[in-house]
Amino acid sequence: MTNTDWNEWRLIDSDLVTVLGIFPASESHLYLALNEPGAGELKIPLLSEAAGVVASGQFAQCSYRGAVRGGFFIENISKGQADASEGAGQWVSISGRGALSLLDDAMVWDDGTSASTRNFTDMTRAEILITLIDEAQARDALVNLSYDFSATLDSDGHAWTDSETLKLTVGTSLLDVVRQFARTGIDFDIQPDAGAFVLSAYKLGKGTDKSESVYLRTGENCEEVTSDEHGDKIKNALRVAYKDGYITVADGASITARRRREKLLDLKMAQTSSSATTIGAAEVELSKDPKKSISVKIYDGIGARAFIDYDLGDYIMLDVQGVETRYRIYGIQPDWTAQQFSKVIVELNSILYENDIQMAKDIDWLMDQWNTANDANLLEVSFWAAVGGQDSDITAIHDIVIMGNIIWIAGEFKKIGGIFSSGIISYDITNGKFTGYGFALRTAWSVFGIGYCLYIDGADLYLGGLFDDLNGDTMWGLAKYSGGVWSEVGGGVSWEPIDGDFYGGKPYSILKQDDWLYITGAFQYVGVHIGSVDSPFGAARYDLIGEVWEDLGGVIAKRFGALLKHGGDIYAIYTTFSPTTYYVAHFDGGTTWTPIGDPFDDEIYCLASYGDDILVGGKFTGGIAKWDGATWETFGGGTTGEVRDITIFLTDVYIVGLFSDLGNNISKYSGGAWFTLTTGLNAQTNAIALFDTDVYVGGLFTTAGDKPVKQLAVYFNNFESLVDYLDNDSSFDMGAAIHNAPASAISDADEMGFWEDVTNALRKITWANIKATLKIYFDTLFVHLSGDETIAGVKSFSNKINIGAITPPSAGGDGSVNQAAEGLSAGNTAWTFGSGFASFLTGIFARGTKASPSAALTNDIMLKLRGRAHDDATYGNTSVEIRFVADQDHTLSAHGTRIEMWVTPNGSTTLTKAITIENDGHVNIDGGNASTY
Amino acid sequence: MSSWKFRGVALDTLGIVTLVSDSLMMPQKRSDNVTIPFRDGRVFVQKMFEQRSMSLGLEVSEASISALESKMDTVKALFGGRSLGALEQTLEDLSVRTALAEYTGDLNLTRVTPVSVRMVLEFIMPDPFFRGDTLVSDEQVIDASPKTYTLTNTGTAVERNAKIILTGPLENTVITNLINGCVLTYTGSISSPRVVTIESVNGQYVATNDLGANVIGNVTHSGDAALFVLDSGPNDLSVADATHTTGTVTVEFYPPYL
Repeated sequence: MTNTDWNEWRLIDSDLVTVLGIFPASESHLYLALNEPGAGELKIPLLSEAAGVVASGQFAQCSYRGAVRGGFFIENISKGQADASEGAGQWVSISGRGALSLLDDAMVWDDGTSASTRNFTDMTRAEILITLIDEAQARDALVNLSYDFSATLDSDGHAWTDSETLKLTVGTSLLDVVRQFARTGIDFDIQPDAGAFVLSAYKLGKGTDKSESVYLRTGENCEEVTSDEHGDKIKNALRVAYKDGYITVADGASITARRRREKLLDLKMAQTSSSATTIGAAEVELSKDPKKSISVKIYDGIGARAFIDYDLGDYIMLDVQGVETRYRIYGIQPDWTAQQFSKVIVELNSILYENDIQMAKDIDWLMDQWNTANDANLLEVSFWAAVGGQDSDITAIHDIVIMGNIIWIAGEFKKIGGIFSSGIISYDITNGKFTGYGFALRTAWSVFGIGYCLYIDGADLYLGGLFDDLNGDTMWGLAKYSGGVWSEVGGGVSWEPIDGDFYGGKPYSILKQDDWLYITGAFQYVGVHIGSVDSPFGAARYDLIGEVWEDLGGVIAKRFGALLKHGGDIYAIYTTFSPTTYYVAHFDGGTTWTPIGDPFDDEIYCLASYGDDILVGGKFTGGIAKWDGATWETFGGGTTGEVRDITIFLTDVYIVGLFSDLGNNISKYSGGAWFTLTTGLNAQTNAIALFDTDVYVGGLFTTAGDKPVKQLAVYFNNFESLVDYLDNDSSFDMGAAIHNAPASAISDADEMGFWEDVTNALRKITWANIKATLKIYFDTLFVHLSGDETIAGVKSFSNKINIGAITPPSAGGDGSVNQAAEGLSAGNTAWTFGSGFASFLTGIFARGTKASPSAALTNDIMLKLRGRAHDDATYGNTSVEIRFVADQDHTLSAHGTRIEMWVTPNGSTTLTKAITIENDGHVNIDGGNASTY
Repeated sequence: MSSWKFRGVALDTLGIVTLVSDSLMMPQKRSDNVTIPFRDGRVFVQKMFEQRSMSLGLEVSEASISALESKMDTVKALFGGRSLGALEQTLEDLSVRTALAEYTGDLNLTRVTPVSVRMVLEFIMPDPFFRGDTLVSDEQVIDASPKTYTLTNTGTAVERNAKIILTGPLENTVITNLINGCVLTYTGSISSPRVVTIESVNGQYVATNDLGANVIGNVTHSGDAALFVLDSGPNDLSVADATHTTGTVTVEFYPPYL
């Protein structure tokens, strides 16, 4: 098989294993789409052998350029048995959906209960998908499917870092589950080959950036370049409904250009106007402009070659008469006629549209969070918390980046969270643990080195700072952490020429593009350990493959600052001297930096990509500005202070720095307005990074939200994040927090937290809920005596009972009728009214058991009326008694009884029978002479 | 001059045959080079031969009108058939080449005299190649791996539909044409005395063994859309086989002529 092979279609039987034949295809096409099944179609002669055996459920597998490229399940069979061209019109056209539609064969199965959803808790999406596939295979579905990812690693070996609590509706097809997961940024793909359909999942997306090597150019290989624009869905004025009312988010430019077009956005799950604005602004951003798509038709015989030079998910460069634009490939549609190579239609989406897709994913994620929280009665919070505790020894935090669940922190510090580590440390969000790196950074000058900048490249971390040693290994200012090991990068950097001593260079910014590592900062030499290269103005790049440095600073004196990758290009801050000017410049990829727009009037500190625009923050007038491709303009009215770092979430812009007019050193711009994050931070803030919606900041501050912190803090919007934090933070004393809280009477609407063991998550409950729940519970334990709860209206009480306020002095008093109060007679009386009725006291007796009573026999006592008295020492035994006694064995016709009266003679404690009223009415005086009346 | 038969009937028994377009011509190619906007010229695309058309002249002369009418009935019966028929050409060296042809014309008569007509016979050959009447059948015992040998395609066209017969014992057999790079692979074992035949039937590639089982799933190929290609002239073939004892590979075809 070679990459010049023609295309071939093979017919695979419905067992998806047996190859039935090779199609004598006339013309065919395959449509491959990212995260969608795509489709295929081919046409064969009606009278061919293949036409006779083709049937629904079989698979048409397409090979091209030496490998299987896809195929489709035969779902539609259209036969042209006669048309105007008679024999020439006798064709069979077969078509269907592509390989990924195999997942449509199985669905989310119920859990055996009546529940309409399947709940998954604290699982990666991959783990959930694997669970569903395994279940389906246990039901003999998807028998040909395998997957090359695991619950912990994706198909490229990247670790999954998500932890999801999801509800999936029973009956949802696994294809729709995959589509849902794909909206979170995961790409899926099925590679079909007879007998083996392998599902792959890519955490970081399928494909690679080939925009510097694969060019589609008009005049070279493009047969057609077409673009479409659709404006029917434009909405630029949203009325957003949230929990407590409505807010309006609109885009003025779009309204001016395309007239006002309104829409209601229902976000009732949003708890605050701020969070509703976040989503509203993002939705406006998505809908304020027409949607554009572009497709390119290429003759594959020229190249770039489909599947060889580019594939789904790759980024390529489109050159339309000299204008180069970087695009991602979302669809590939090869059409084969009778030629060796196909015509390929490549569907592209621009970076702008890619941003739209990413934003849509983020919106979905946030909405999902809110919905989950809303469904689960969770809370939306605004809560500042310390990261690292009060025993941290921090001078300043300079940079924060997030890699999966790990937060990397660089700065000037010796200890954070009880862990000694100077200049660089990592924090695991999942368990709240810090990991140090010994005396991680040391310099010959001060023992403790300083970390200035961090850069994440996949699973690798780059660190720049003032240090000459890391974990005992010589590293000058530039290091890489990969696979748990630190190593020096490119021989390090230096301020002075190498002469055996360290004269620390200070990288301030790092960026990687293709195989180049770019650094800027305060250094004059790079590669000091492998062959020093002059870089007098602190801008250089290192070829990670060729292992050589290039100076990028040029010959004009200037100082470089932050780097930014934006739209495939590199930008940097630089300052020139004599005169002093402050610029943002574009790098041409060679040696030239070209300033964009006018210079600023003071220092620039940070850069950020904001959709199609660039944001800069600094000390200049306004503090924050936006480059729209033509000019710089103050963003959002600006600030009177300084902006030190910027980060973006959806269309929200978070800034930190040194200002007070937009909030205390931190603020969020959303929907055209600035929002404070409660009372903010009390001093300069240098770094900000987002973990979903959790905001991690570092700087010089010592309070966050008025709480004491040590230059490092986090702001939570999400209650579950807060709970995770509290769960992991050993410095948080819940008992002390409760004890120190102000007392307050509880009302029905007041809420309390509790831990739900089923979902293993915190939930809330109101006092009204508690009362209602307790009532329901108690009703299951006790009979409600005010109604007829028992059979036949007989009311009963299962335990001992005493009537009257005086509690009996001994257990023997259980079931007693007592005094209402001491000093009163216990006058308990049975009242009866009405002719023919009477008050009565009855003793009922049977031998045997309740369930199986038997007749009373002679001398069985049916009732005793007793008297006892206290003898100055104790309550004596019965001292007087009347007994109602059976005088014969009872039968249906024999109920003979007698009454015995017992007394205790004076000076005695022995109860003695005194009088018996015999069954015949005679009175027998036992203690004296018997007499009969 | 060549003589012609159609459906076994020598055309010169019907009248005098003259050539309008003959086999010395070559079938046309189809497809077109690709136009790339804003680029001079076109991009070359490999062409395929189109179906072939051929015309012969026939003059029928009889002694009487009734005899002419009777002869024309014979002519119409011969050419009125709806299926493909063998069009056979006997060359001057008496070698014979045959193609399957369909008569598509209307005879297009010209009355020369009351008892004589001229007409143009129009044939279409869906397969554009004439085939020699002598089967090339080359059997090689694969007793070495690779076994190399030369197989000559005596035709003037590329043979794309040769029948390939694999007789066991063979295992994972790979046949490579070292001239054009085409590779045919049979993955799996063929035990003795099983025989696998790979061929094109009605334009569709099939592979069956002598027990009637479909084994096309064991066949893969590379280098061309056809399963295997023999260029015109000598072809250096190489057969790799895991067993290479007494198994044989046989290639059969009637040489194709343009």
